[in-house]
Amino acid sequence: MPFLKKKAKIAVIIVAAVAALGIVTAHFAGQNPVTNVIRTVMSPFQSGFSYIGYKLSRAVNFIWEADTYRAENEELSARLAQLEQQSKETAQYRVENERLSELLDLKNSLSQFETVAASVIGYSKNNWYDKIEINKGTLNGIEKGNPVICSDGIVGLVEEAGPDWAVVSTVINPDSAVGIRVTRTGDVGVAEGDDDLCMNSMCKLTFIDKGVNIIVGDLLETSGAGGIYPAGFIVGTIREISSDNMGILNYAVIEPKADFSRLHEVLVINKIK
Amino acid sequence: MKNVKLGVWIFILAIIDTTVLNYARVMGAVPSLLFAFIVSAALLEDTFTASAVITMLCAAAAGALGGRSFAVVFILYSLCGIWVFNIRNKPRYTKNIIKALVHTALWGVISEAILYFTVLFNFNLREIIASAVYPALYDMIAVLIIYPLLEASVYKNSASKKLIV
Repeated sequence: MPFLKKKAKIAVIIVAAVAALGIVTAHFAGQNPVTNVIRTVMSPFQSGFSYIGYKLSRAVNFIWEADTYRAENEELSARLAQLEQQSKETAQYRVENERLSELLDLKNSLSQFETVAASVIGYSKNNWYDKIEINKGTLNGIEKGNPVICSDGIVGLVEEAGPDWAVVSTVINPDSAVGIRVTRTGDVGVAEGDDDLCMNSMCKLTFIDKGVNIIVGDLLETSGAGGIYPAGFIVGTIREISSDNMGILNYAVIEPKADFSRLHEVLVINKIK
Repeated sequence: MKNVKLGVWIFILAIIDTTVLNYARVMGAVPSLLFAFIVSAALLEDTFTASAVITMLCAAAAGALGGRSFAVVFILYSLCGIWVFNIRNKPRYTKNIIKALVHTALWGVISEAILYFTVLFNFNLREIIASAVYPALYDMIAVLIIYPLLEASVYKNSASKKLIV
């Protein structure tokens, strides 16, 4: 039996001839005509199938790597929760830092007084801010009757003190009385607490000359009369004026500058150096 | 009708060979469906002319679309097809699917090794083996799928006509 049959020999010759023709044509024309024709015909179909193959590949990869995606998702979710918590804490630290900076500035401005910084740790059980509790006491030199201030203005007086605690009666306490002066006019009066106004964290202006010219928005500061509060500390602003038919002042409603609902740190003035 | 079926087979395999299979790489190897088809058709065909035409068409498509040297691919694939047809009856009484696997492995390795060498002129034996063996193994898997399907779709009636299969 011959190694290759006759037809096979002819086929080999044809193959060699086609290949040689392809090489020569590609060499001189720069392109193989057979390749050119086949690629031109198949190109549109290849584009469509290539797109299908790509989509299938993505779907298969998605399913194949689902566990990896799930684990990565859980890790990223945990990391996100951690970062959100850190962000929240950072924001809290920033706010606390600003508050403490203001308090420090206030303390530094009161160099003529001996002051003790304290944190507010409790409020009156009545849900009104007539009394607050702080975390410093007699061990820090705090005594009954010491004035208490914050960066916004006066807070009140120490009513009761223990070794490491003290109760402060705020300016809106019905038993409270603060000598004030209208910053604009210089008129003096008394800021007293009131049972009704206390519920709205307000107090009233009394013992002022009936003919005095005060307006809503007037700023009130401590007068220093009575020797309890040092002079010049902001008490609050006039919110409402009650007058009779003749325009004679009955009383005015004061809104304290200190926001008792957001009070965190205070300064207790122990004594004048 | 048989020629139409064969034409559709070659067309679809050529498309899949050059588009979809790129995403199915294993150890850097991609199967050559057209080569697996050449071997399968050479074993199933009865007449030399038909086998040669099929072989040359598949070789031309593989050479044109494969991205490698047209002449080298055309020659190698065509010669493989012609030679497999020439010895398709040896050994006797061996199932064609076994022969298909053996021929695919043997001529696949040789073809890929020659192609690798002619392109890179690299004498690194390890790289030559790696570039030839993995595709040949992949081609064997393709033959396991293509041969039965081809036999059932195109050569079903032909097989029943033979006295000795």
